[in-house]
Amino acid sequence: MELKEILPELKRGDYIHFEDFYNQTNKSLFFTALLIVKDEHLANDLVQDTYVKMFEKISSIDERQNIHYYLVQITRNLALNIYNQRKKEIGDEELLLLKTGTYHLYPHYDECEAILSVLDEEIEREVVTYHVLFEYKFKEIAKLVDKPLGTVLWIYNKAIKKLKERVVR
Amino acid sequence: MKKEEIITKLKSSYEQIETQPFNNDLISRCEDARLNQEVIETNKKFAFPFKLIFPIASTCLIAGIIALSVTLPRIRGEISSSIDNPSTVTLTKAKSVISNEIMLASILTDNNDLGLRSLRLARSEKNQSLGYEETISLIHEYLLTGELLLNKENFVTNIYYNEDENHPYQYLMEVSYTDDLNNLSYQFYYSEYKRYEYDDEDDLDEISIIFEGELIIDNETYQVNGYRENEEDEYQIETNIYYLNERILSIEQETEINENEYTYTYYRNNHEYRKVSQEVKIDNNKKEMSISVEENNKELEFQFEYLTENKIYCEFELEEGDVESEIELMIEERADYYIYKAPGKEDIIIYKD
Repeated sequence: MELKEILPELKRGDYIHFEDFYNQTNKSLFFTALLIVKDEHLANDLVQDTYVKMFEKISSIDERQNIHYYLVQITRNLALNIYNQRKKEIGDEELLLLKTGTYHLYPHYDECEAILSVLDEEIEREVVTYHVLFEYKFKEIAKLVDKPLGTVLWIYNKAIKKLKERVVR
Repeated sequence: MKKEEIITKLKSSYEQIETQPFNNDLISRCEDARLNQEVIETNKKFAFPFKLIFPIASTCLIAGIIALSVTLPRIRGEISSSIDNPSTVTLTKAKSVISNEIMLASILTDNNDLGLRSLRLARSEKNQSLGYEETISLIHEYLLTGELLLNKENFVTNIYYNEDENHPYQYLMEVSYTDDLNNLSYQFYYSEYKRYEYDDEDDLDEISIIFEGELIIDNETYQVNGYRENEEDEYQIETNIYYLNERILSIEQETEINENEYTYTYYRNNHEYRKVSQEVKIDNNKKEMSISVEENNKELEFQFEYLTENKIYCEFELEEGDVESEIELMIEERADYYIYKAPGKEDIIIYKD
């Protein structure tokens, strides 16, 4: 069943297809959170919080909109809040590691990590993930990361160039 | 590694990621949230002072208007590009050119009533050459559209960051044109991004700006896409306009300082049926314009030279039956009408209304 078909049911409080809805969306949300907070357990908590947040406003969600994108927006905002909170709490050295992503980002996701970790900037990982894995359009990504479309295009092209140079078979 | 290989690898490794399975506890948390939101909404409804709706709406409207005129960019003319700057939208020369060319397109398409439609349809149905009076009428129409090109000060173009969610584009361009005869306007919602082209050695060769969006004229929506490139003072723009997913018009434009060249190609049922080329030059403060129209395997060409502000010389070839003749026409603009004079022909007056 498609997400847009399940959403009206959820609005009515009918949870019969909620597990299906969860299975179609939770991996993207988990990965979105993981890219930012770089902590598997925290990312899992943020996924749960995302669904709760969605239900807090479910009656006002426009059924025509892309619900996957809407959920990713929530997860990203929640993750950024956590990231900014942690930034205040941790030391400079740890922050540097967090920013540059030079420590082991995704302990259980070696393959993805191996590819994405060659990128220098967090925003590059995000743009590549949203476009390649979530298949978002660049204008959707621009809105999500709050940057002009031209900048997003440039970041993507730069990231792909780096991947071409740095990823070896 | 090649781009396609990286993308495939990334996708397949992502597919293999296993995440936390669904837990029924989540349902109870979500249901609590859903029920709480309904209570909040109900409370809001009761608490809202209905009497204030009108004053609040009016204030918002006025504030919005003030915000638009004071804080949002409202820039006319040629200002440097700001595509990478999220805080302002400025009108570059290229954008100004696009606004003008679409306006002209809206005037030249069959989707408006400026008298061109019936004339052209009648002609195509008869498949006959035009007589003198019909040709003058056609010249008059093109002369007026050419005038639009020259009267750029009559265009008002404003570009804003689009906030209308019904149109998922970055910018809103509002354009209006007013003169003695016309009062036209349109809205163009669009997004644009850079396209990078690389040569065989993977070095950056060219950057062009791709744009796509929706054009709204007289409550009708048209889809638009195209690109623009510029080198120093030279701009090249191609715009395609679609109606119900069918291309109806392509506009190619090359513009340099004091020189504009337009080609409008019209489509019906995905087939080209008319091409209008228009070139406008200003040389030593002297304005010249040439127009050629290709339709039904026939080509008409008109040359205009602006002798004074109100006096225009025009040259064209007239085909009447099997006889072809070259006509030298003098066009004078008076307060309420235009008068067309040619040796051996009766004067033709066309009123401005």
